Amino acid sequence: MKNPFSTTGGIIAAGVVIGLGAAILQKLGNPGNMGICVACFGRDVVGAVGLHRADTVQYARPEIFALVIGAFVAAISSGEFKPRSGASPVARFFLGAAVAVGALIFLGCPWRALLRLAGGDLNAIAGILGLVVGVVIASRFNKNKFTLGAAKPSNAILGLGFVLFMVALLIIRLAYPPIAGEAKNDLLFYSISGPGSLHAPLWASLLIALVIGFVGQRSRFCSIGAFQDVLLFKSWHLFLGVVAFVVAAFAANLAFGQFHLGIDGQPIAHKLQLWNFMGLVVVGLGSALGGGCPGRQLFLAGEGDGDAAVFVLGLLAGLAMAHNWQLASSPAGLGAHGATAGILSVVVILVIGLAGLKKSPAVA
Amino acid sequence: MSREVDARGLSCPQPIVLAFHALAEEPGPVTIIVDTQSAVESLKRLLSREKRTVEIIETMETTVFRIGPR
Repeated sequence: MKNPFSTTGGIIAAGVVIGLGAAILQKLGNPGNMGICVACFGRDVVGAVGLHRADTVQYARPEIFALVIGAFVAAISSGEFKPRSGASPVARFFLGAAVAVGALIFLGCPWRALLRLAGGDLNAIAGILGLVVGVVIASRFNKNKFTLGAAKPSNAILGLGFVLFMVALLIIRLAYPPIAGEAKNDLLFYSISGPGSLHAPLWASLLIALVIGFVGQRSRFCSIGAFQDVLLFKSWHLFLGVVAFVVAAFAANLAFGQFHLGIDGQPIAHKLQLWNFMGLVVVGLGSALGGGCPGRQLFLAGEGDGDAAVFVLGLLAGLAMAHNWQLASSPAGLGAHGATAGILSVVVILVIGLAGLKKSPAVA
Repeated sequence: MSREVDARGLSCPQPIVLAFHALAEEPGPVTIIVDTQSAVESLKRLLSREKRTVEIIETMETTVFRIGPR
């Protein structure tokens, strides 16, 4: 059976759904130009469970869990749930961690970079340029048959592990809701000020993210693949999805009064353009070598890709450490060790990239 | 001459990179084996630009593209 989301109309529809969903989530209470952000929301999740103690960015974002669960439902319903793993999981963990550092230097994953642009935040332009440069560098590796090896099919129960982990966190979120005015209940931390305190109602976050997860898995929407496929194969398919995503979010932002053009006073953003650029160079490079943008990794994890799940676990670990070690930026500027961590992240990714050039088992 | 590319288990974009190289370098028949629908869809889009015959054989676990000579 043909997958309607694999067509040009399908990828455009997927971009519209994701962009519109993000704008609606912001309208309903999510932070500014952060209707959905895999890095920021992952950071809030690891804060909620206490892996970092930055008290303004702690909230067990249902979106993260629902994106994976939505993708899982899509994969099951289309016969695409295929447990697999074993293609250099440790390298993927560190790619995920490096991407986390880059994203928090910039303040957002590639999706949020595009949402910031769609909300009028001109600081996002330096970031998006950096993202493209990162993908251009990665495409040099990919053209030369960079590989992290081939994944092997794995046991179905074991392949469910990451999805069940997301379900468990969602159940904990439902069972331990925030208590008004309290920064912590029995298990979870809840920010009472800052971005972590801003969120859409639970039902809206769940519903919209489930739909985005479903559509994302079916359409293969990927903000890194969008640029990469143009560079490598002159294929504009995924790029059209990203354009639709930005246009839909921009239109909805205008309609909701959420569009504020400028450089100054943008929500959860800083004006250090070199580091906006550098942060997303790291994200573009690391994601392209890791097989997809952070959002795409969530979708892949939902369809049983254990290596993508390990990338996400590395991302979550990196996000926690970014706050524990002051690597993350804030509207005031870079974290105390942000610059060092950013440079080291590039080094880590390049070492993995060079190591991956040495073998190409797939060519018979 | 002919060429076979086994792209099973490879993450994006490698299956398509290998297919792209093989189609550019090999004027004879090319066989490409993939195991994700994502790769199948990308390959179909890539092949729609080529003037070669394509036979697609789908089994439970893999999809084999048998591509004719240039």
